[in-house]
Amino acid sequence: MILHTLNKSPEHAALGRCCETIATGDVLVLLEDGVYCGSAGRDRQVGELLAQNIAVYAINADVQARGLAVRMTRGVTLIDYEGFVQLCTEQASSKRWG
Amino acid sequence: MPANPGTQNAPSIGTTAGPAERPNKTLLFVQSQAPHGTLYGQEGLDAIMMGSAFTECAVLFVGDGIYQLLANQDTSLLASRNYSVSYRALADYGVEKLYCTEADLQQRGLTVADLVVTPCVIDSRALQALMTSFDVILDF
Repeated sequence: MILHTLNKSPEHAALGRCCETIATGDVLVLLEDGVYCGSAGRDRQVGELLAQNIAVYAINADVQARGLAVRMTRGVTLIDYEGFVQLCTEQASSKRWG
Repeated sequence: MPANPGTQNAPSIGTTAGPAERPNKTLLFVQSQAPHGTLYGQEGLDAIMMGSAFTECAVLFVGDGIYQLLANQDTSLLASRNYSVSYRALADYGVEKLYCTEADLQQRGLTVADLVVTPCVIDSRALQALMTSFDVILDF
């Protein structure tokens, strides 16, 4: 299974490309401006991934910095950098989108 | 005695006939990037504050740029400064014209109540008029 990371806001094409490619059982980590993809009002694609049982995480430091703490979509799990490393060790490979 | 080469041909300062007094060009700063992911927002705000010392300045927030004004930013976990609060000080610098579009707010599920300052919300037609009403547009 693949760990996908996304560091661009929904304004960019990276989100669409990621969503076309990601498969059930994969994991998505939103980081830097990617955390906007999991915020209220901009979370259509991430909502679809969650509905497909794809686990979606977001780096807490990036969420807090952007004022999104109370705006994140239910189902997106906030993690710290240690949690990020842990996820990396659990997946066979990784793909960066952005 | 040789003439001092440093002064002989040097233009005299202050006596050169300059152009007639001209008003400074007005500046429209456009903030189009989300905060913290890049340095554009912070650099743009610094430029606005500098520009305000010399001429009339206004700020237009487009696209993800409006995220720079989102309240409750907390950068304590990042090596990044929470400069959003500095937007509140712009009025003290004489920069009182802040603009954003209704479409950009709506697309992001935001209202002006979610922001640290209250920009003037305009539609796309007013946006065109705004951009043509300034001498110079500076993009960040």
